[in-house]
Amino acid sequence: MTMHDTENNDALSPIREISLAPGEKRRIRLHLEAYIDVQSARTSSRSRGGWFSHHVGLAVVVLIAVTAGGTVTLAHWSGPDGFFYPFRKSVTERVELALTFDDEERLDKEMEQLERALGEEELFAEREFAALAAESVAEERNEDEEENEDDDDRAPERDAEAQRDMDDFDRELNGLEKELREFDREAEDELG
Amino acid sequence: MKDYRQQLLAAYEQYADALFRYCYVRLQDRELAKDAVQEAYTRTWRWLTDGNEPRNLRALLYRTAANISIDELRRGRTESLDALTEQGADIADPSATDPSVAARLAEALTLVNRLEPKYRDALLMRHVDDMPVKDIAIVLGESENAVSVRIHRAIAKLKELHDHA
Repeated sequence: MTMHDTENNDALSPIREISLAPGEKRRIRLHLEAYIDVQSARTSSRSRGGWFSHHVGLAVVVLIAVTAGGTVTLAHWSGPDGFFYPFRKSVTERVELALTFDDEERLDKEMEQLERALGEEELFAEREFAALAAESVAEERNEDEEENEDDDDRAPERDAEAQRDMDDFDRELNGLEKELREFDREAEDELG
Repeated sequence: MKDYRQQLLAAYEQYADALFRYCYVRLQDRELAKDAVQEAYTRTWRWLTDGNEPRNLRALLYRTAANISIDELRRGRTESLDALTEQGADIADPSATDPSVAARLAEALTLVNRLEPKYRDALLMRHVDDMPVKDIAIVLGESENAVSVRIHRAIAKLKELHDHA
C-alpha cells in the first residue's frame, strides 16, 4: 500500500469497494417500502378517524356527566324527604321480602318495616307539629308587633290621659290634706 | 407525502452503499451496519412525515446514520476491530472471495480507525464518498473551513501512520 497522492491514495481504495450485496440492498429497500406504506396507511387512517373519535369521546363524556347528574338527582329525590321516597321504599321492602325465604325471618322483616314505618310516621308528625308551632309563634309575634305599632300611634293620648289622672290624684290629695288640717284644728279647738 | 416517498427511495438507490460503508467503518460489523442503514432511512422518513423540510437529504441521511452508529457503539454491542480480526471474523465484504482483498480491507480499516473519529469521518466522506465539503460541514455541524482543515490534517496523519506501518 503506497500513498503517492493525497487525492488518489491506495490506502482508502479497499474501503471504497465496501458495498451492500445486491440481495441485501433489495431486502432493505423492500423493508423500507413496506415501512413507508404502513406508516402512510396509519397516518391517513388516524387523520380520518381523528374527527370521529373526537366526537365519540365528547359524546361519552356528556353521557357520563348526564348519567352521574341523573343518579345524584334521583338519589336526592329518593331520600326520606324526596318525591320518590315512598316508591323507592315500597319497592325496596318488597324486594327485601321477596328475597327472604324463611317465614320467621320474613315476619321479623315485616315487623322491622312496620316499626320503621311507624317511626317515620312519628318523625313526620313531630316535624309537622314543630312546623305548626313555629307558624303559630310567628303569627303571635306578628300580632304583638302590630299591637305595639298601634300603641305607638296612641302614645300622646295615653300620656295626656295619664297626666289628667295625675292631676285628679293631686287634687284629691290636696282636698284630703285640707280636710285633715281642718280636722286637726277642730280637734285642737275642742281640747283647748 | 407521495413526493417524499419517491425522493427517499431515489436517495436509497443513490446513497445506500455509501451509507453502508460509512456505518461499516464505524461499527465494523456487517449486520449492524445494514441495520443502521435501514434505521437511518426509516428515521428520515419519520422526520419527513413530521412535517420537516429537508434542505439536504444526503447530509440528513449521513447525520442520522452517524447518530445511529454512535448509539450503537455506546450500547457496546460492537467489538473492536482487533478482536474481530483475531477471532477471524468476516470483516470484509462477503462478495470479496479473494483472501488478499479481505486482508487489504482489514489493513485499511485498521489504519483509518487509528485516526481520531473527527478526522476519520471528514476524510472518508470526502475521499471515499466524494461528498462536497459543504455537505460534510452540514453533517459534522462545522464550518466549511474547519472541515477543509480537518481533511488536510487527516490526510497528513494517515500518511504518517501509513509510513510508520
